[in-house]
Amino acid sequence: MSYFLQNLIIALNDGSSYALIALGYTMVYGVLRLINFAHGDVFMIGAFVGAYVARYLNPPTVGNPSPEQLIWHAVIGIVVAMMVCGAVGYVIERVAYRPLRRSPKLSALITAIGVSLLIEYLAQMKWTFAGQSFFGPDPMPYQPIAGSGESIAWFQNVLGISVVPKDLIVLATTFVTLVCLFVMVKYTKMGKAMRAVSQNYDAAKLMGINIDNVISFTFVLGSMLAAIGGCLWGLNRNQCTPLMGLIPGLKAFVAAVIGGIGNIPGAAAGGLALGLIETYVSSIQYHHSAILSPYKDAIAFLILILVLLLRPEGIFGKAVAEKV
Amino acid sequence: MLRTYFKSFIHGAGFLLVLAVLALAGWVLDSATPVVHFIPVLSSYGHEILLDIGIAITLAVSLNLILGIAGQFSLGHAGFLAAGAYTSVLIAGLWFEPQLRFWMYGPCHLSANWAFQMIMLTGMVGGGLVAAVLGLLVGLPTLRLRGDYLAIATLGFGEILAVLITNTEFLGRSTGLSLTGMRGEWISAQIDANPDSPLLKVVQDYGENNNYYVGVFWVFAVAVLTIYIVHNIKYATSGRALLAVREDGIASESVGVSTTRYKVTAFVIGAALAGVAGGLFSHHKSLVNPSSFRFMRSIEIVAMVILGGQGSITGAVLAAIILTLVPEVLRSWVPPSIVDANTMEKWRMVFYSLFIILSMLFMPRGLFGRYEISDLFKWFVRLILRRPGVDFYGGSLGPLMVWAGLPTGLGNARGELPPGVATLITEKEAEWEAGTDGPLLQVSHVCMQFGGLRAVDDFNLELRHGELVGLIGPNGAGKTTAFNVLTGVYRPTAGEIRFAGRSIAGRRPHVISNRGIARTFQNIRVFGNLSVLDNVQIAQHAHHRQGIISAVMRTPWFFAEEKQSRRHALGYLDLFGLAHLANEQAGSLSYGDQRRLEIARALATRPKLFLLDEPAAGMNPTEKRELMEMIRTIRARFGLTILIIEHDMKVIMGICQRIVVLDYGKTIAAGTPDEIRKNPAVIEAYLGASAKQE
Repeated sequence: MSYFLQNLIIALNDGSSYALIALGYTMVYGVLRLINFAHGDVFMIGAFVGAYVARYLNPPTVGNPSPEQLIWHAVIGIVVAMMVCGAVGYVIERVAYRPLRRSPKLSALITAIGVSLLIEYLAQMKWTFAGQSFFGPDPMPYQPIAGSGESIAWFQNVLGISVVPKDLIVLATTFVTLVCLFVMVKYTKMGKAMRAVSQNYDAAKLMGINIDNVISFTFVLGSMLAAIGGCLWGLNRNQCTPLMGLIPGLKAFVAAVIGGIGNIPGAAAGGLALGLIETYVSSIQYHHSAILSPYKDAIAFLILILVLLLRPEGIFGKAVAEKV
Repeated sequence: MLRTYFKSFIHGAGFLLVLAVLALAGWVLDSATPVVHFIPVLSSYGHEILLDIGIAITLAVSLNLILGIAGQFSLGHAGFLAAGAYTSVLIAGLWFEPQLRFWMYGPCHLSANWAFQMIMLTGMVGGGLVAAVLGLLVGLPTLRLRGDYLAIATLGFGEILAVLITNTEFLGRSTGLSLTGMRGEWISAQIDANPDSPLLKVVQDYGENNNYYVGVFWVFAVAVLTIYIVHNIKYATSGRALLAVREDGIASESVGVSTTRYKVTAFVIGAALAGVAGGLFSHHKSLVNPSSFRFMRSIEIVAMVILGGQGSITGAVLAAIILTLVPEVLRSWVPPSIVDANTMEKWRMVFYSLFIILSMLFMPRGLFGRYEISDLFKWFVRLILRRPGVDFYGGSLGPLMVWAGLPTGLGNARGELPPGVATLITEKEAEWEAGTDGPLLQVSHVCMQFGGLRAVDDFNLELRHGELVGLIGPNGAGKTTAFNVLTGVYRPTAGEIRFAGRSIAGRRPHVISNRGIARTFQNIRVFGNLSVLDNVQIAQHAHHRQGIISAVMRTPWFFAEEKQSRRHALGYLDLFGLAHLANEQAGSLSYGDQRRLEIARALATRPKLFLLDEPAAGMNPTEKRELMEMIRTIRARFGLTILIIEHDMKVIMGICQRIVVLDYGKTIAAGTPDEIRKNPAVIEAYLGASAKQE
């Protein structure tokens, strides 16, 4: 039982990040029908900014801060990362995708891949800012959060599992973010406009919706979610690297497809489900060794192919038949 | 006939000639002591780049067959490259000694150099075969998916393959397999076991003296072979079918092209060619590991195809050269002394990605768009040589032959309908009277249910040979759905459809088309990006006998059939006054011409039953009169049975012998035009219940 619960914590941690990235993919796909390959790299930028801010607020030379201070550092890091990534997302859309909106879809896709490569390689160069190295080829440590090593007593005593405060921060942040997002998409004017554009691009335009604003907004929002996802991922793994966005990015896209691409609750559910399946399948024990764990990365894609073959529109998606 | 053989030689053997020239060039470049001194010998670095370019060309052109020509977005091409590479390393590594022994002391008695080349060749063939099988296994299930979904599924396949390789001891896990390493092991084992063996000495000598046994020759021979194969597939029955599938799957099925078969064929051939390239790659690099075949590698190849222009072979070749050279040119820009090697490598990639972004921003359709270098020749012949009427056979050498004054054989081909097709209906009538196979079409109790909606409910229809029947009903009555069920677009939920005595319910659309039912579409579905002539030639698909192999070999029979098919297509176009537009893009035609083209295309499948879906939509009164005349004419000339959906009562009442009325999926009336005009149920359906009471 405790083994099961312990894995649940791990799964939810991973799943949270997947869900947050998947939301960005799915929203952009919803309005533009474009797989934004650079999204995983925006996630990476978010992680780096979060790490940088946390370190800036508490340079290694200064003594140990209190746990409350560290939590504040992490939160400030997330907020700054959201702002930076939002700006990056806006610029990417404006410069690289908007000119290609009327071009063949594949051209925009190749541009997206170009942007992704560009960010990855720029991030692998040595950058220094305010006397501190920023991006770089070497992994950057993520500021550990209050008592990361010690489990909260209640979980340890009652459930027999180890839950460190950062786990709770990750889960709480994800939960709050998802609730805010759903409320925004469902009840605000911009949210309604986004849904309208994803239903029918041209009809939305005829109804007086400013398409350019909606698309920019979608990119900014998606990038902010990716920034949160990146910071949480960094908190989990305690480090960030320039290529960290590649695999989580791909898997989050898989999550979006599993949930039904273009479907916002579907992406969140798909992300969490992917985290759960991945963790539990790779923790299957056989003769006291997790035989499937080396295949962890393949599991996501196997599920993807199965879902696509059995239900191409995704689990929560709606099949759209071609009109003849 | 002699001309045809001559042409077959030019096109078929012409490429063998190119291969021979390449062989010579390869031999000169490869030989350690060049025979011809005035050809500068490349440095090993230059040699390396040349080999990279050749492999990139093969990969780009093979993917172009899948992505550009067949329009199937595959993001897993590197997976097939990996399959080929690993297979060839295993073949060369595991069976090193027996192979060497066979080639050197077997029936052939080859030199050591040639024996090594043969080992590589078997690796390439094996790699191609394994990749082809893998392509079939991956393609069969996934090619049902469309667009981005297919891309993601193939991406998943590539990643799964990489993870599997990383976890397989036999394949060297993440370190990979080294060809030189395996050979080294063999050498040390031999030194221990029998140090005097002559083979050992051969291998040791060879390893010392020759670094480039892969050589420019094999790499470019494969590249040229790939271009040759893809080119010949593109400009043939198969290529037109593939382009049709790319343009519009439903329309291509409706003219008898099996979309599944063509998609899978293109996928398998593309995969096999990538597998052969994998064989070259592994022997060239001598080391294979999973990191060279990840998702980024696939992306690189896709970038080449898109940058070149989707479907353009010329573009793919050019883009492969450019995208391989760009990073190398960037390397030579910055002298290594200024920046350290690692940072420079990163800058190089930054510029590379900027290059990709900018070229897409400024050339969204790629370097060549859909065009080939041969289109430049065509333009040259038509505009500069002022021979606008000249027709070219579809291949690349046609325009050159026209320019050189060689016979193309298809010159100013005149249109002519296929023999036996245009039989007057009066002649057929006797035949039908004598026949005992009953009605041509018999639809009984057909239902089509979508979720809770029953679009067609208990639909019954019997068409006798030669009848002209109208199907009418208010909007949403289920008329088009009935057509879709008849032509196999939808599988009926219940009921039976018999055509010419055989059941066709639930058959695939192309099968039904081949049985003799043709249709047009409510919203016109011509292949807009293809030429008018191609549109009609695609429809003759089922009557072509020469397959892909014949097309690739460019046999005399291929040319004979191509010539005939072209003449027949022109014949159909003549009938509708479209022959002078034969070389135009179908999408650029006027609305009325597109409607006519669609009818010509449907007729070219040589149907017995012709289904017309709102042919008069958007036509003015004059055009409608012409249309009615045309329908009568084609019915009389081709002995057709016609079922027509139309809203315009003048057209329906003017030409139909019988009318069937649908409302809410149910048949509410059937009879002669006069009966229908007076039928109260029909009046109610069209005008509402109150109209009846007045």
